[in-house]
Amino acid sequence: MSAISFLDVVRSFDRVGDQPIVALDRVSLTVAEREFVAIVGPSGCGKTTLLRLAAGLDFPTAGRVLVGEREVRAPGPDRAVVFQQFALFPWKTVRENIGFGLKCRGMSARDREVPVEHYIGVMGLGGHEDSYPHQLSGGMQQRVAIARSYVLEPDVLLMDEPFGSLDAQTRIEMQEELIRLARVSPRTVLFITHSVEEAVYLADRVVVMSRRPGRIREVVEVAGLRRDEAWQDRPIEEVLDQESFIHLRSYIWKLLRDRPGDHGAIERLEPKRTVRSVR
Amino acid sequence: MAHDLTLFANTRPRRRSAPPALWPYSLAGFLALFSLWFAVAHSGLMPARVLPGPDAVVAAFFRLMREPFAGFTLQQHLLSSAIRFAFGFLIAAAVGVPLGLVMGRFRWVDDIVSPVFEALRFVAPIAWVPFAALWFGTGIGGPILIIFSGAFPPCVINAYRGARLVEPRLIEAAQTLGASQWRIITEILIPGAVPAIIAGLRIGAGLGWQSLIGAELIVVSSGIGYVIVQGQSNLATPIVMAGMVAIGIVGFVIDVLLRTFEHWVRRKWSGA
Repeated sequence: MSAISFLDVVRSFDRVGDQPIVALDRVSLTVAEREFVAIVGPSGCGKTTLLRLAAGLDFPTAGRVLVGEREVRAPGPDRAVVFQQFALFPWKTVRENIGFGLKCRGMSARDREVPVEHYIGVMGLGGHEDSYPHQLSGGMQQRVAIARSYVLEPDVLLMDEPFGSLDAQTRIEMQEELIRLARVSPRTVLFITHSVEEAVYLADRVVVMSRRPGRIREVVEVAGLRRDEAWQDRPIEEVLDQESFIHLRSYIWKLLRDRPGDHGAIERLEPKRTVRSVR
Repeated sequence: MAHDLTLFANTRPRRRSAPPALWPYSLAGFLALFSLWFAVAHSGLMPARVLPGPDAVVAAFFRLMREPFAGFTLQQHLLSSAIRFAFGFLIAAAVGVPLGLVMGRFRWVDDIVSPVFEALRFVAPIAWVPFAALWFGTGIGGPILIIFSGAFPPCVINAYRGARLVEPRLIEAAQTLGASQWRIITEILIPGAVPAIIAGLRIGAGLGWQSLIGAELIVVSSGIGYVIVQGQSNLATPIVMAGMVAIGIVGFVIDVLLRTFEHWVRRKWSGA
């Protein structure tokens, strides 16, 4: 119902008096229903563009983008977006920010109360309901942004480097929280990050992209390994020390550092079999 | 932006505890002006008919408040000016602000309106006087058109700029949360543009008030501008100057009121 499919998607941006920039070049990717897919890649590889296409904030030059078998034509509350810079409404309180989507749905103030309070609790924002975003720390602002998306119970969650601007401590807390939330109410998630560690820790599959033009380099499976080693039941620092985790992380690192041209080198160094064997 | 506001909020108590005492300087400026004026007026270099002294002007001012001149007392003239101003300014704000916001939101509206607007806005309000009189008469309609033509452009331009400066990210966020076009305008665009809108209202009010005086010099038979014209035709220069003083005072009061409003909104908007 809520799978995301990119079918041969091309997105190029015209430039005046110059060659157009090809942000995405024939990208095909399917995120299955309730799957958590992370995208890593160097800046300018088109990962944000990919997310904007799924959100309906941008449209492909060629190819198709489907969510739940329907072509994406406009943004909508079935596909919640958590933006890199949070994008909270500065003139609305925490409560008003979280309740905004429900209000758009036509829900009365009284009906909004219960779900909004629920997510204020879940996100540990109690006592700050009537604060304005600028009065909160970065980590709390981010939690408001996530609550604002979650409260709509969207089928699809699109997150663009949501933890990019947080300090290491808060970042870890938020990652654990996301894992917890993902377990309580699984969603189809497309998660963009430049942290390989974060991608491996959170995602069922990690999509590695290459730059200019943005293409999918490789898709790395993580779900099996996580299940076998029960990562979700262990503290993050323990998972990060797992040999299998380190192995996978350095494999993706090599993919990222490898120039797209010399494709052979990495195949010799880390045959794909290695990834499969750790599954 | 949010960070700036936080900083500002933190430093505010300190600022409040030590207000800069600059008013003596402002007072000194006024004293210098009046002394010079007094000295020149009473030096005998110029006849009192050409340049009355400040004492004569103040006397004329208070006399105008007590005795009717050109049909009414000063207060009544000011009131009739103020009513015209209020009508013209409110219409300008009520039409200009929404128009500017819509132009800022929809590119095609911008493309339709901008060329016409740009062509018309350089026509000085006074240049509308003949048509204002012809179309709306010299009672209240004509002057209102002239005030409107003065106050309208800043209302439009500032609302437009304010809407354009609202972070696209916020509009996109609202769209992804399912906001309708109307809700985006009322809950995102307007709050985001409020500081710019209010600045525009302030500029518009100033220009509107100036335009009104210009209109009254020509078309009507009451109001503060009319006092000046009548004073001139009676060769009563102290009355002319008293009228000018009244215009300045009222203009200043309008600006102070709007500035207070602006501060109030800013503070409310920053959430502090």
